[in-house]
Amino acid sequence: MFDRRCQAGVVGGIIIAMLVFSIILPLILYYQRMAEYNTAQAEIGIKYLEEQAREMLNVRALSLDEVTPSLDCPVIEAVNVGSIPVTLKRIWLIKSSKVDMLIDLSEIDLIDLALNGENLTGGEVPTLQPGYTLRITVKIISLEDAENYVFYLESDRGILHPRRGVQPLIPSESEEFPENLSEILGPTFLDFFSFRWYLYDGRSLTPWPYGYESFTIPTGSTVAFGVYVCNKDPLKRTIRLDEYTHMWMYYSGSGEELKKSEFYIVGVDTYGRVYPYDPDKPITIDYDQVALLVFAAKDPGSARGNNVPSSGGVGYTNLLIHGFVDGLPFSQNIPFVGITFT
Amino acid sequence: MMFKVRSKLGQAEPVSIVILTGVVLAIALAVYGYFASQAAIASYRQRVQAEIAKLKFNIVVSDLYSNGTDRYILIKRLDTSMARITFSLVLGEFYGGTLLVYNTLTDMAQVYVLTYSGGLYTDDQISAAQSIPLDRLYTSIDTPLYSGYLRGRGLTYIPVYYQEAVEKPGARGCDILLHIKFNSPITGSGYPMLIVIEPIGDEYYIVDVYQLPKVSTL
Repeated sequence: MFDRRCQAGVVGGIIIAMLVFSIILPLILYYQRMAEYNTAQAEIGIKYLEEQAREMLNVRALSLDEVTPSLDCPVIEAVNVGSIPVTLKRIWLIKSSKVDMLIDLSEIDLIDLALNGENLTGGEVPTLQPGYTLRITVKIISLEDAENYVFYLESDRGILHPRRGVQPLIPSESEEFPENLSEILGPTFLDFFSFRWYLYDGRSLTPWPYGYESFTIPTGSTVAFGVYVCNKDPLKRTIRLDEYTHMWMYYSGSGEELKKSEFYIVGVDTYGRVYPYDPDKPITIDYDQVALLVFAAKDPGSARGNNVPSSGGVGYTNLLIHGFVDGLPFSQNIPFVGITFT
Repeated sequence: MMFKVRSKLGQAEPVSIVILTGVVLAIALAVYGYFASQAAIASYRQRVQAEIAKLKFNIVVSDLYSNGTDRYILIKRLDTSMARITFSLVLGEFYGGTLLVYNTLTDMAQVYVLTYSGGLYTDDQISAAQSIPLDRLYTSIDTPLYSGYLRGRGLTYIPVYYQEAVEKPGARGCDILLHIKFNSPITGSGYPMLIVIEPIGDEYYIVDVYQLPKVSTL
């Protein structure tokens, strides 16, 4: 009897051992490998997005005086002012809002490249290490034609530079900002066409950082708004914003009465994650600098989202820039964009 | 004592042992087979989920430039130097986190891929190469795409585009640059949605969705 029990125990033990070693253990190891693999892949994706956010190039077309010897075609200069290398792939030449030409930067028949003063022989796209300067001579376009174009430089991370606004292929002669304008209208100015909106799920913004550059917004959705603001203070002071900076909006409701809604400023990290605006870590805008302000919160200092109207119509918006200049309270109200809800 | 017990069992003992052993082995095999099949199913589902997760992390869609009717979109895969990218253009929207697809956009937009020749990129029109059955299109491993609106329009297939993406030396990953040209305003419900699809086995999985703004006028 004892022998049979032993036999049964041995057989059962063998079966359990078979199950453990041939199925359960490999499955556990497989899950573990997959989890490690997924983590590695996520890191690649996050690193890429982080690098996208850190790419910083100063891009402009050179004036005729800056190019020696003089040429009969436009010259673009890109300086890597960021902390990571940037590889440039293409030039976008845009005429009357249409993409007229898209030129590969490895093609030296159409362009000349000089990296830190040394001519590149072509065949490979140029990589700008931090601090490097690239000059691109666009041989395919004459100076006369260049007046009709604006341009972008595209990096291999899928970023168009300049990130904000566009640059003409021939710089305009007068770029001076009329200083007395800021004495009359106030120290902050909007980059009007940088207005964009984001979908906000209560945690992060999509698509970050570009958003939807549109003045038409879907009804009933939870959104955030973004716009670049420039400091043109006539006394060249730094502006510090507080949590009461917000965008406010009147819109047509169901009756004749106009309804009001507010979207307060929030903080956003490099991945588009939203957090309540922290007055202890305020957004500051130095003189002649720009900052992207994002408005999403229903209340000051929170990250709770706000909805746009659930029925179609038009919204009339204002921007209230609130904070301190030189430690003194400051508030400026700027008439802002009109929005259509569809 | 042992002798007495053995003598009581007599000649039937070896037969009963063989039968008992056979039954135990059969049960053991059945149990083993059940667990093995469950493990195979679980590992397949895990492999599919891992593949979808990998693609979700490695596909980056960037809306580079637009002017109302034209949109230039870069679809980048970070994980490889050469890949086939499968995508479709539909009319839809997210409702409570669920992707609703109302219609295809084949008649309302032309899709071009920008191809490189002699330094300049030119528009190369591509057409939907194939249609895939809606009942095999999934938003994740357990969730088929809600296809009620499409079936209401008599559609049981969704047209998809395939494009080979090849990267030049010295850069990361591979990408395709698309030019989507809308030839008709989009009115009513829904937004143009670019959906990136990956075939795994005989099923298709939506790994990324990029919502585009409406085109209100031409």
